[in-house]
Amino acid sequence: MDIYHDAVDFETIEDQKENIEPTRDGHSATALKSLFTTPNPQLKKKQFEERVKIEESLKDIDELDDPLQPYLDYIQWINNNYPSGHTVESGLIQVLERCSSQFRDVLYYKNDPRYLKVWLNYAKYSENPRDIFVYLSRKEIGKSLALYYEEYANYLEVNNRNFQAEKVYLEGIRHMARPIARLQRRYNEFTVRYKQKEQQQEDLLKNEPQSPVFPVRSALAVKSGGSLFSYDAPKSSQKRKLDVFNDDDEENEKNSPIGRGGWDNLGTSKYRNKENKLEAQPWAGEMLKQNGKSSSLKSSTNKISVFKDDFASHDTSFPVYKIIKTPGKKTEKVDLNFDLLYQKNEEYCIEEILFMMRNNNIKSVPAEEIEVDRPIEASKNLPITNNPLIPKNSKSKKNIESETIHLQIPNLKSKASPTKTFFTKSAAEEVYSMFNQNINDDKEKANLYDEDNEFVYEYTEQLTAHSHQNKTILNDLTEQNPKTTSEIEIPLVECVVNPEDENLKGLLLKDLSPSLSTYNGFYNYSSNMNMCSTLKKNINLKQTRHVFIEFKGNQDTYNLRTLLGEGGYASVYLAESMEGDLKAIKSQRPASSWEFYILKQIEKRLHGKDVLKSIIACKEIHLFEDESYLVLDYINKGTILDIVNLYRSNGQNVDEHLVIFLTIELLKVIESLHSINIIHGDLKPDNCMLRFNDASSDDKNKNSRGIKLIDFGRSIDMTLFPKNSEFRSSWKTDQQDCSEMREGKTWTYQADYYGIAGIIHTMLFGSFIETAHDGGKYKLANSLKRYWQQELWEPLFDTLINSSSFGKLPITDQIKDNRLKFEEWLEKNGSPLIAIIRNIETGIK
Amino acid sequence: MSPPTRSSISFRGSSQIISEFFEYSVNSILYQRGIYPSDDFKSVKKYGLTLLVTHDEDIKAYIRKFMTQLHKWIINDKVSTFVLVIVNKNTGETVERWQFNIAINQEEEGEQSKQKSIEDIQREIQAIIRQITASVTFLPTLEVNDYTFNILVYADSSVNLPNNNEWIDSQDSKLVNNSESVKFKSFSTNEHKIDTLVSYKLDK
Repeated sequence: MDIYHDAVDFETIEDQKENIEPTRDGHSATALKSLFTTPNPQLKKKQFEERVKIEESLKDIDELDDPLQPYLDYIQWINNNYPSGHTVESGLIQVLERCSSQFRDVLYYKNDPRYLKVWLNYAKYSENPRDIFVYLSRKEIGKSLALYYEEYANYLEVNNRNFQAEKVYLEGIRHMARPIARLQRRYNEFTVRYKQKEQQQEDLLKNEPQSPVFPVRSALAVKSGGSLFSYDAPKSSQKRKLDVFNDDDEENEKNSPIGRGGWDNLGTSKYRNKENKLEAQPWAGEMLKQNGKSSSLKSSTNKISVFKDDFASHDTSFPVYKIIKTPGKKTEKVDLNFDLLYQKNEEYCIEEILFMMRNNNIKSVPAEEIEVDRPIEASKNLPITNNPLIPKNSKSKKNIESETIHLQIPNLKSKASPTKTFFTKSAAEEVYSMFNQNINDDKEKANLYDEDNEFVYEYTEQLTAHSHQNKTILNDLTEQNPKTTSEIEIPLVECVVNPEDENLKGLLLKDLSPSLSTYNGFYNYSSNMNMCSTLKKNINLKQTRHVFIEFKGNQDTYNLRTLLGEGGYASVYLAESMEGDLKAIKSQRPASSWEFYILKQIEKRLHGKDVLKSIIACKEIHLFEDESYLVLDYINKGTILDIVNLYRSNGQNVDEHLVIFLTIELLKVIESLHSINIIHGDLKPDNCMLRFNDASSDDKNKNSRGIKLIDFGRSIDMTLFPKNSEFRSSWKTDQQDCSEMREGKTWTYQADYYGIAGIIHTMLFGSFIETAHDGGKYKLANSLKRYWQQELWEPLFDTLINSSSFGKLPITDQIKDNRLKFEEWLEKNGSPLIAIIRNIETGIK
Repeated sequence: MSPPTRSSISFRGSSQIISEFFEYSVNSILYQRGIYPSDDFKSVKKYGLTLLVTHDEDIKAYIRKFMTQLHKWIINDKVSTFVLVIVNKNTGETVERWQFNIAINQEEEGEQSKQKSIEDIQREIQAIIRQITASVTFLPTLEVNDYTFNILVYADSSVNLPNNNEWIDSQDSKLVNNSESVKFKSFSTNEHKIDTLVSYKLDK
């Protein structure tokens, strides 16, 4: 395009942008470019020559038809050559002054807009533009120009003199200033604004000055002056606070506009501001006056005294360093008082000496008051060798030592197991597992007990040999001690289900009432899509710009951008809708609407609750015969796993404040989910997205942040199953699955509790969770760090990984108790949290 | 134990970046050029800068509306130029013309190593927005309330206009007479390159 090539590159001007003053007419970019690219001396020379030429032309001004024009050219020339407006170099004000004053009485320029603009330009540089406007009115310059009234009114309005501004508009309209239509419109706009302001700040407007805006008749002026004078009279006895400026020479008096009774001449800006200028005086003998009395200066030096070591009061007879001379080696200087270390042929360590000195000091305080017989100096003086207290002290120290030993012995005894003499880790585990079998938890007993009697249906294969073994042991146990079982409330297990069974899910979804098809965002198609593999192939080919997917159901088209993640049956794509929103699309083959059902149920059951924002929102599902496409919100703030990795890449573990914050969030979500009988079933660090803010956002509120759970593909809606149903999974288990799963036992909510424990463990330790048996319970294989909040973590982990031991699940109340403790702690110690989060917000995008 | 790994995703669609840039540019221009009173704007943090965006519902809805349409066209590569003109309400004269040229980067083959990071793009955008802000120094001051703006899009002749009267075929390109032009820095994503240019009327 032509104009594109002709255009001036902003970069040539950009460095100088601060030196350009915005003006009404703008600056020519071409002129600016030539100005900023010409070297300085050359430019100066050129400007000087041009200025001389212009000044020459001004001399012949009387010969011209339009004598104003050369001035306008001159001003334009300054504008082009000195974009920073008035400077000493440009002399803009002087030229404006010359121009404006030269034609002030020329009749045919009075209503020339060009001439008025010179004045207005000049007013911009004036200290008090109002003077200029008043002067113009007196001189009747711009009397019939709308521009004058507009500018004047505008100036008044900006300075919160709306009442006066209105007067100006009305005056202009009265004079039919041209263009009257524009003036009228401006006035109308003004009245609208005025009324708005009036409603908002009534009081303020009332206090506005209402003095006349245009010069009034002199008779009135005298009158008001007289009254002012008499009012002032009593004040004269008071001390003068303000010095009134007096012109000190006669000559000025003559030139003064006020002295001549009128404003025939406005004078130069220099003249008008002379009060503000200090006259130059010789510096010799000048004194800079100080505030306050001179004595205060002296006393102030005493206020903060510089600390000095009080050498005099110390005994300086011993050296505070020792020079060690070893033949053949450099002499060493050790900054230590060796006399303290070696006292009376005994050697003390630093701590011992410190202890002695401390004791010394503590004891010395009452000594001063009570024990008169002991000289105070003795207790204060440093050389401890001379101090009578030392033997006593060293003895007492020994006493303490022996005491602590005594204390430690019972401690050790209580902790140590009597059988622990020599053992390996595996031996210990063996022992523990023996214990475990004996004191097996009651609920487990009950489950297996019932298995024999009343099974409704079971989807899994045969029981493993292991659990048979378990059962026989248990049966033996119950026979031996039938009392224990009868005393405990036994949750009746009605059925044991494999929650992953797609047939079962299908059956459940089919029987829903109301049926899934009534759900908002559910689009069912009776055709095959057969796109999954094509999409993946195209995405992998990086032809991302042209991978579109269109759903007929609601006419939505999505542009798939990239593959976010992949599972066994599903792929998640980042997609851009036609509206420009980013969505995550989860494509699944074979089709499944289970996750859609769960998410919509959560949305319904938790409707209006705050916690919903911690769960991924699902927009719609497009269900084909062969494939399904779930449209989810896209969160781009990473997962908890990203946080762990971010810290790990710096060789650190996640900050504990942050872990506690996220733990609270996790517990909150899981409490809510369980309260509506939904099990997430697949909690792990990479299924917890972060609900953080953009790095650029200013939000300092931690409540706007949190987590967002994703991937509800394995979730279970307990309301679909008979009461007290339990589950048995068929997938291959690992350390991230709860102990019940790993041991082939049935489970329900345990999966989530263990999942949370796993997430927290990953954050704290930077590694996946591992548990070990410990006397019938499970415990973490890793031990908590000393400096962590053990009193918080210990009970939480205990609750989470031993959730079966509480009897009836879910244990929402216990979880809540734990959470409240965490919240309490964070309330007290959470101050660094927001800074940590903000750091991460810049670290994870 | 090896650390758990998973690559973090930092991806935003190119057309997304561009529409967003247009939206913030339009807002900045409307504020900087005083098309609407400054009370109508609030400051937000974006591109590491404090920008002003309108909070007037009508203007917001209007911008949102044409941005949505524009975005669809950008995705489909239908648009070559996006223009914001500032017009005198009374005379209908165009006094300023902000032009954004959208070019498609053609090198699709192979060069994966040249993938531009989001930070680099942001930095480029930041530089342009800064220039737009700084341009008030040389542009003529515009009176508040005397001007309005208009949007022109140079689109492929094959585009489908939505079935309402929001978009009409423009008869003239609303060029500025007696104009000077200044071009700004350009920025590019992996897929597009944007050039920015302003033409303005200069009274002599």
